[in-house]
Amino acid sequence: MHVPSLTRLESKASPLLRTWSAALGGVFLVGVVSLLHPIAAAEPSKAPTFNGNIASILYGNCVSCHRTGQMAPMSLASYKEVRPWARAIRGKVLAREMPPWYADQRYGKFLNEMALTQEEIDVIVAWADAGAPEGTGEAPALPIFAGGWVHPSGADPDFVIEMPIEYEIPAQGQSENFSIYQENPFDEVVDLQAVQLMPSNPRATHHSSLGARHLPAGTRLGRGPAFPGGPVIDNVPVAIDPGEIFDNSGDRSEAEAFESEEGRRALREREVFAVQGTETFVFYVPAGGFKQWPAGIGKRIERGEYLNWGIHYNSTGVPETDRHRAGLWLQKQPMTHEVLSRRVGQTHIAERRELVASKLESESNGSPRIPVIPPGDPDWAITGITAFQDDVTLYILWPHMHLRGKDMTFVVTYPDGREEVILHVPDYDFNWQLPYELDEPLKIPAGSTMKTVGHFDNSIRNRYNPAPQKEVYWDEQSWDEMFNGRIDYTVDKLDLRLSGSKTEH
Amino acid sequence: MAEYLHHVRRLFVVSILVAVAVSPLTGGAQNRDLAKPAIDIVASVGCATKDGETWTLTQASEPISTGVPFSNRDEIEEASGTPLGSRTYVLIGVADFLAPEELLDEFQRAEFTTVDSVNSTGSLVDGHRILVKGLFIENERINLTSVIGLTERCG
Repeated sequence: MHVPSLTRLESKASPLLRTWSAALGGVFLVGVVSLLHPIAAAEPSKAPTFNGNIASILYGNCVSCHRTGQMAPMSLASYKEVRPWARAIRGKVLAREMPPWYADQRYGKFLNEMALTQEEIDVIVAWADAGAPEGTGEAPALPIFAGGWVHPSGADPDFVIEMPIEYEIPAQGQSENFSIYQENPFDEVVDLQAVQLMPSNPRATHHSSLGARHLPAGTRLGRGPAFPGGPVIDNVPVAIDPGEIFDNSGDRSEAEAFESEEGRRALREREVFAVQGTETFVFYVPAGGFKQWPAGIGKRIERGEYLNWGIHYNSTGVPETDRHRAGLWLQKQPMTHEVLSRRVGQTHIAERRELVASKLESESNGSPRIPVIPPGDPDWAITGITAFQDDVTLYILWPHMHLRGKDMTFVVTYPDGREEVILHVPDYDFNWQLPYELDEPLKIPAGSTMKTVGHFDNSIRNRYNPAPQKEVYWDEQSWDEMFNGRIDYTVDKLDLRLSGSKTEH
Repeated sequence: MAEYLHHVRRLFVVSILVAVAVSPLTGGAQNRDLAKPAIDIVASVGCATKDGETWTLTQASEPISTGVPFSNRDEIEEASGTPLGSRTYVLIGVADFLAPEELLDEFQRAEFTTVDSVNSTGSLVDGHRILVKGLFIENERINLTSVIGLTERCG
């Protein structure tokens, strides 16, 4: 089968061993640089300097995005570039707005963490307060950013897939999240061991994702608006009924994919143990975009599914184009466990009241309806509780809310009664919807529960709030709300070697 | 609740019969085992009892498998008429069902939660008659997913 957008690559090790460092913005190399240039404690008589103290911090944590050709609005790759921004940098790091990392450092360890230590923040503040001196000598060398595939083995991907269209990003205006669907180029089930997502234009890419799912209910692949009011493009779901218009903006497209007959069937077959699923393989955010699962564990593309590119562009002031590519590394041995996704929350507590299912909801096996968020409420609280009836292994936590989302916390209660906070995001930011990849997979024994505790700010004090005077409903548009504490996990007993295809479960 | 449970049991039996009928002899048993969870979600009615730091459900009814971790109106109505029993279960995962002040006193979440932002229900009250749901784990313990207060007196 010839698919122009799909290239099979011969697996060959690069002579130069590539590491995770490139995917993570050169963290490894920069770590070495940092070791060579430790942060000197500021002597009372001697303020920190750019060459002696600051460059290593910025190069290790900032320039993966803040350099020419990347999405950040200014480059911070030299003293000359940094000096005018010294006060602004001070403010951003002090408020912990930059680097964009929102996990409370007291809880959990994460592979993709990009936060400054308090010591690093203190040094930057002292340097800015002292007039941002350059210092003597030379700054450490800039890290080398690998531009290509970054699998730790050095192997190129088994397959490279291009987004089916080149997208034209206008010079001005706001783009919504939207989905591009692509016919599955594979004739058989494909088990993935690693995936890398690369925009051709990182400067204009805010974030993106790649996954596999069915087309939303009542749609076919065609030509239509990328999102309501957006440009008309190919490879989007369009309503089969000519009198209907399908809304292809991000969350709605995803949600309705799971409402389709095929989607529901796939869900039943694929996720006996999940209430709701999504098959996202990898997220691209600046300084990230590579995902590798532990040996024998991975994601699966089923026959009949479409590849789904979830895209959010960022206008840069000039017209731009982008065409993402994805590298797929296949399992080299039979995959033992497929990574599943689900939302935490079967029982819900809203504003200190446990929600009870109505007769109608019970008969349809549905969970209780969540009440609306009242106008003006600055701290509306909700908790979701999920029961684990089997042993599972947890890999990724992904808090997902919309513009009124304020905070989210993930808590596990183990069968021995011990309670553990595994992620606390005290200042959720809709613009930085980061997944949090556990440093070590977490074994959660059967008999445990997981709780997500979150709050929403529907008041005028929330600067992102599009309508504080309105009740907020639960839906997929960003002006509605969602409370999705999502997890990526495997069910330990679902060993694919024993059960064959997951569709047999 | 009895009618509801009867319906659930009937569905379960029918499901098993269908599964046996359609499954190949070799794979059927294995797949049924995979679909059967290791830990049951159960419901029980009893008296909330606090002894030091430990919460128990005393004079509790026999645990009944329910399948879903949240409660519905029919179950609550049925539970109001369910007689107490003789079982005792240790309750864990109580935090979200305590009074806000109690949660702040006893758990890690107090490190970042204020009394204004606590989202616990306060339905677990010493001496109250309650309907609980949760994971039924070894040594007669229930990891809670739902606590519904029924009456302020028990027994």
